[in-house]
Amino acid sequence: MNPIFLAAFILAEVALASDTTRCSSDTVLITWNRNKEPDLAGYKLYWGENHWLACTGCRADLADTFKIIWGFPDSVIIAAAVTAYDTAGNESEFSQPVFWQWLSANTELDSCDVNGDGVKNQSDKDAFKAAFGARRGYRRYSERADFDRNGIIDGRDHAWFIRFCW
Amino acid sequence: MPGSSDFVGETVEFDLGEEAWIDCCVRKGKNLFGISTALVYPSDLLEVVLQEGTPIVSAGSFFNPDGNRLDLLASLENDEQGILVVGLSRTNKPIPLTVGVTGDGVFFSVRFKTIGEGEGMIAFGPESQLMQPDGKATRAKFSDLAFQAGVINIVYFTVRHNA
Repeated sequence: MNPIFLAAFILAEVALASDTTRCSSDTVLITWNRNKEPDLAGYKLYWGENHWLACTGCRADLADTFKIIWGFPDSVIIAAAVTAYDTAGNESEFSQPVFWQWLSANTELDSCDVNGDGVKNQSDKDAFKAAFGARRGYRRYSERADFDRNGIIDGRDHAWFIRFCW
Repeated sequence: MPGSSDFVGETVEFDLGEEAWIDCCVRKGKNLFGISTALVYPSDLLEVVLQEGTPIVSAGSFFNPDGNRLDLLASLENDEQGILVVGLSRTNKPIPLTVGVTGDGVFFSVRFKTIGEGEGMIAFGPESQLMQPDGKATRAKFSDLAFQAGVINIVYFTVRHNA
């Protein structure tokens, strides 16, 4: 099978400068260009967290769109890619993947407002710095600074904070 | 331990009570924007040196070839010796950056002091990762550092073939 091209249209999307789209909807509509081979049997959509692509109940048959409704936690980056398969069961290479990140309404402000005072400013950076290195249960831990909700304020939260808030 | 060297796969020796900078380096880095890591070390043998309660950690030059600001945070996990949590990233200030850094260099340096005799490892935590400009993690191999602190009597075997 020839490689196929994939485009993702995300409902209520907010475009970013990078190739990761952030959206506040919990519904993502994936579409792609149809293949022209006569023995085309269908498509498979793979998706998962970060770069992990898994095909679990994702057979899309001959439709050229696929809708994902998924209540992923905020800030997790989801990747998706499509393959085509023919009547003999041959499967194409993956398409170019697309990435998106779910954010609930006002999540960005809420997330960046680490100290919870309703505004996003330098004091939030100070609050983040104060929580850095703390595990859940320790006095310095802040749920608001634990962007990936893994129970520790670490370098991954720092990268997120630097990228989106500072 | 005068001078510095590359200790990948080797054991570095310290005198008891000695302070030394440990550099966290990268080889063949490609389009990197930041690092998230935790250094795990035996707290009965080593401690991170503190200054007014803050770990002495300094950013290296790798992430800053163009003069843009870096942001470095380093803190002992739950304020206890044994795990040093580090986050280091390029920033989009003063100018937005869309590219990372490629090449070799030093990410950051940590001031350690030996407080006990023995052998151990300074290991990268399992969730260590390097980030690209788009925020995604990129594949990396993290090499731990074996060290020996103080005097240790070494007992060992040799093999004599066809003697």
